[in-house]
Amino acid sequence: MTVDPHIVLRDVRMSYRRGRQDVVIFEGLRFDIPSGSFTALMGPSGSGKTTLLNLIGGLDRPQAGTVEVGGVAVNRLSESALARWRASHIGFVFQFYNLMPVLTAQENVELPLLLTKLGKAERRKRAAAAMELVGLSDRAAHKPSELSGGQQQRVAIARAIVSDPPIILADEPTGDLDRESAGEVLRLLQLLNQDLRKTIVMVTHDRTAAGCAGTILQLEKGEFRAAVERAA
Amino acid sequence: MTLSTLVRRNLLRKAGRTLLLVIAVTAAFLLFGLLSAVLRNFTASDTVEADRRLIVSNRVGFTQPLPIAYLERIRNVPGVAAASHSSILGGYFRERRNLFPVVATDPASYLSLYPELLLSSRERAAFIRDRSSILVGETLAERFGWKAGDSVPIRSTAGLQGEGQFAGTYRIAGIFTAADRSTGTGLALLHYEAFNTVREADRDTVGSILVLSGDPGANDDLAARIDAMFANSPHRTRTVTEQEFGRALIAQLGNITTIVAAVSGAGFFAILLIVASATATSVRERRTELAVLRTLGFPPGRIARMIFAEACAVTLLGGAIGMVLASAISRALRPLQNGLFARMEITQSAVVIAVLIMLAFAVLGSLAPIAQILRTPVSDALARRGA
Repeated sequence: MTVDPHIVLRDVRMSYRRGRQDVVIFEGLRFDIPSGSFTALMGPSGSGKTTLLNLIGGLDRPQAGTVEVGGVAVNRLSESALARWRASHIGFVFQFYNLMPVLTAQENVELPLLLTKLGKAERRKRAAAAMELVGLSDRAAHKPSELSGGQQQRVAIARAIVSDPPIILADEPTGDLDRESAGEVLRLLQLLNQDLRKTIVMVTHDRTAAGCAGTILQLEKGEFRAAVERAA
Repeated sequence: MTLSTLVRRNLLRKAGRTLLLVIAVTAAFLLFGLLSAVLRNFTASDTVEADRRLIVSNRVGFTQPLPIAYLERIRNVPGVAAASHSSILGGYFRERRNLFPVVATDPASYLSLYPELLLSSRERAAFIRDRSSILVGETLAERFGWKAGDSVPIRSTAGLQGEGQFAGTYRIAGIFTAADRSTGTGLALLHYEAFNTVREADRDTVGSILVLSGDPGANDDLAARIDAMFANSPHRTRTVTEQEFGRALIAQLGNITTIVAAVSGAGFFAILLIVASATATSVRERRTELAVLRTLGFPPGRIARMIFAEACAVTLLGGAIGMVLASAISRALRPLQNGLFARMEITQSAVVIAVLIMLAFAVLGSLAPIAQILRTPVSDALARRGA
C-alpha cells in the first residue's frame, strides 16, 4: 500500500498549564505539508515549533482539532497503534543525536529494525546500507562517544531512515554542530528529500539551514506569519 | 543485535552498581537457602519407612522417660506392625569435646525398624549377640578412625533423656552406612540392657517408643489409640509421626518456621527496596534514551519488558548464586557436628519458592519505574535532555 504522507493539521489547539494559568500555544491552527516536500519551521523560542513537530510525530496529542498524516488521524490512535505507526512512518532526528551510548553506531542504526519481522542477517545488511548512505561504513563498530558530533548526527539520520519511513522530522539537527558538520548533515537531508522523496519537516533557528528547505514557514506566537517558497 | 544485547549492555553500563546489586540479592537468597535447608534438616524423612514410623514420647516433654513396660502393650495395639525403643544418650571418646550421640536400644527390633541403616548380616548378628558391643555409624567411625573389631573406651555424659551411666570399653561389632544421604551416621548404637543395668536413675524406662504402622494412611487413628491407652496412666503419651516429631523437637527450641519466615522476610524486604531503588535510579538516568526508543516506535509494553528483563537478570543471577552457595554450604555442613546437619539440603520446593520470589522481586522492583517512565510524556522526557 502506498502511503501519502500529506500532513494536514486542522483547528489544532494546544496549551499547557503554568501554575494556574493556561498558556495557549496553538489555537485553531491549520496547515498542510505536501508529500515529498522539505519544509523548514522557523521562529523564536516558545513559538511552538517543536510542539508542532511532536504533534506530527504523534508524541503529543492536540487538545482539540485533528492531525492527519497520509489520511490517518494520528491523534486518535491508541498508544500501541501510535507506536506501530511511528515505527513505519516517521524518522526522528534530534539536536543532541540521542544515540544509545552502549551500542555501536551500526547497532544504533539497527535498533528500529528490531520492531520489524526481518531476520538478524537482513537487519544487519540494511543497517550497513544505511551507514553507507551516510558515509560512515568505516565507523560502524564505533561507540557514539568515539564519534564527532557531525558523525553522530549522520548515524542518527541513518537510524531515522533505516526502516524507510516516508517522513523525517528533524528538530534542530544542526543546532549542536560546527559549520562544516552542519553542511554535511544538511546535504544529507537534501539528498533524502530529492533522491529518496522523503517528506522532511525541519525545525531550525539557522537561516542557512532553512535555506536548504523548499519551503520556510515562520511561526510566531502559535501562528504562521510568512511562508517562503523556494525553487526546487 | 537483539533487544537482549541492549539489556545486557545496559546492565554492564554501571558494572559496579550491578555487581553490588547482584551481591545483595545473593546474600538474601543465601540466607533463605540456608534457613530452608536447616528447616529441611529437622523435618525431613526420605524413606518409605519414615512415613510409617511413629514416635511415642512422654506428653510432658520428649526429655521425660516412659516405662519400658509400655512397649509390650503398644505392640499389642491393632495396626502396630512392629515396635522398638530408643534412649538418646551422650557419649564421648577420650575428651569431652569428642562428643557424639549414643542410642541405647533393643538392637534386633531397632534395626528392623530402620532398614535405611545398612550393615552386613554378619555384623548385624554379631551386634545382636554381644551385649557389650556397639554398632558405629560410618561418619563417627571416620571421625575417630575406628574400624570393626576395635575396642574403644567410651565415657558417658548427660543424654537428652537424663544421665547416662554407661562408661566402659566396647567392642565395635560393625559399622553401618546409610541408604540415603539424609540419614545421619554420626552416632553409635548401644544395647539397652547393657545401659539399663548400670544406670543410677530411671531404670526400666526409655526415651521413646518407636512404632511401625501397618497402614500409613491410618497413622492418625493409630496415634490416637496409643495415646488413649495411656490417657489415665502416670506417664501419659504423645504419639506423632517421625516428621512431626522432628518439627516438635525444633519447636521446643523456637518456632523455626517463623524464624525462617521472619529472617528471610526482613532480608527480602530490604533487598526488594534496594532492587526497586536501583532500578528506579537506572531508569531515571536513561529517561531520554527510553523516550527515544518510544520515538522509534517501541511500544510501551516492549519498553516495560526491557526494564523488567534488566531487573529479572539481576534477581535471577543473584538468586541463583545465593541458592547454589547455600546448597554447597549445606553439603559441607552435613558431615559436621555428629551428623546433626545430615539432612540439610535445598529441596525442589525451596528452589521453586526461591525462583518465584526472584520473579516477584523483579516485578515489584520494576513496577514503579515502569509506571513512572510510561506516564512521562515522550516530549517531556526529550525536552529534559535538551534543557
